[in-house]
Amino acid sequence: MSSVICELCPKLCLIPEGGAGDCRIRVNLDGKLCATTWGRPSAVHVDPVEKKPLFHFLPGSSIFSIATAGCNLHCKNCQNWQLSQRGGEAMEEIFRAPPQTVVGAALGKGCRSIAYTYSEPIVFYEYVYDTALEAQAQGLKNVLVTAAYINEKPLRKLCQPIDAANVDLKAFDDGFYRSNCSGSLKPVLDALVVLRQEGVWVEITNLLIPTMNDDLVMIRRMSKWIVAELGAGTPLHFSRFHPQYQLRNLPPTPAETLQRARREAMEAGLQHVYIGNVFGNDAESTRCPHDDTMLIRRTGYRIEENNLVDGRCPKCNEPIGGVWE
Amino acid sequence: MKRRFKKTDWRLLVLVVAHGVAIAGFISADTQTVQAERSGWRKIDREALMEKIRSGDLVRHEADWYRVVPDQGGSGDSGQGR
Repeated sequence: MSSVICELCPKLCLIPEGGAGDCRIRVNLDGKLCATTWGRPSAVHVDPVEKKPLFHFLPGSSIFSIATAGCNLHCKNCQNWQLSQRGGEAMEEIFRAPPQTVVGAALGKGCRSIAYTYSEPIVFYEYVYDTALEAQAQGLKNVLVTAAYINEKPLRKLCQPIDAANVDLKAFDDGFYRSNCSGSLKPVLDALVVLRQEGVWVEITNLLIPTMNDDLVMIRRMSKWIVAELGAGTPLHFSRFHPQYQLRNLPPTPAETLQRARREAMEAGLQHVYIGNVFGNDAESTRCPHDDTMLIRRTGYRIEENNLVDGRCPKCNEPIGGVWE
Repeated sequence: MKRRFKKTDWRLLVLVVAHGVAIAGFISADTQTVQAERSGWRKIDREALMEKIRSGDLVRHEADWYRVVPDQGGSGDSGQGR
C-alpha cells in the first residue's frame, strides 16, 4: 500500500491508502489517486451567463452549468457548502453524466457554453478537462467559475480548452485567506496572471463581507494590482454578502459599502466595475469607459439593450474587452 | 540551619528533571502531530465510498497530477485524518 501526493493544488496533500485529499473527492485507492466524481455531477442547471457573473462574455446567452461535490478551500461564508464541503460518498443526488452526455445536453438546451461552477471545478479537474475538450470539438465554449487555488502546471494545461473564467478573489489579504478560507493569497494571484497569459478571458468577483474584507485601502491595493497585472479593462464584480454557513452572525453588506468600493476601484483605474446581488442598480450595466455611452443595459440577469457593434462602442468605435461572439 | 544536599537528593533532582524533559518532549511531539494533520488529508467513510463505487454513483477514474511515495506508516483507519 502506498501513499500519494496530490500535486494539483498548493495544498500538496499527502494521502495515505484509503484517505482523501483536503478536497474530499480525490481519494487514494490501492496506491492510485482517483477522481471519484468524474462524470458524476451533483448539480446540473441552465443559467443565464450573467449569473456566473460574466458580463463581457456572450451576453444574454444560456450556459449549461455543472458541479460535483468537493472543494479545496473551506470558506466560512460558503454559499454552496452543502455541495462543496462534502465528499461524493455523502451526496444524496448524483447524476451519471460523462462528457458526451453533458455536451449533448448543453447543445439540446440551446446553450452556447458550459460552466464548471457552484463548488470548485479545480478539484474535479479531469472531468472538467475531458468535458471541455468534447465541448470545444462540438463548437461550445467553456467557462470556469473558480477560486483559482491551483498549481501552475495543471492550470496551464487546463487553460487550453477554457475560454473564460470568473475568479473569486476573496480578499487582497493573505491573513483573510488563511483564517477564513484555509488557503493563501499568492497562488490565486499567480493563477490570475497565468489565466491572462494563456489567453483566457478573466472577470473577477470580490464578495464584500462586513468588517472582514471591506477595508477601502485594501480594495484600492487590489484594484491597482488588477490594473497593473491583468489590465484596466478587466471587469471586477463587487458582490453583496448574505449571512451564510458559519458567518450567520454578520449582517448583509450595506449598499453604501458596495458603492464606496466601486468608486475606489474606478479611481484606481479599473474601467468596468459592477455591483452584484443588489437588484436594479446602475452599476450592473456596461458603459464605454471613454465616452460613457450605454453599451449593455442590464436589470438583474436580463439584458435590456445591447448597443455594441462588433465588440465596439457605437459612438467612439473603441473596442471593449470581452468575448462577444 | 543550612542543610547540605545528600546523594538521595541528587537522585530525586535528576528524576524530576528527567520527568520534565519527557513531558516537554511528549507535548512537543503531540503538537507537531496536530499541525501535520491540519495540512494533510481527510479520513472518509470508506464503506460508503466503496458502496457508491459498486453501485456506479462514483468511479475509480485515475486522477492526473499525483505521485506515489513510500508509505509513511499512516492508513485510512489509523485515525490520523480529519
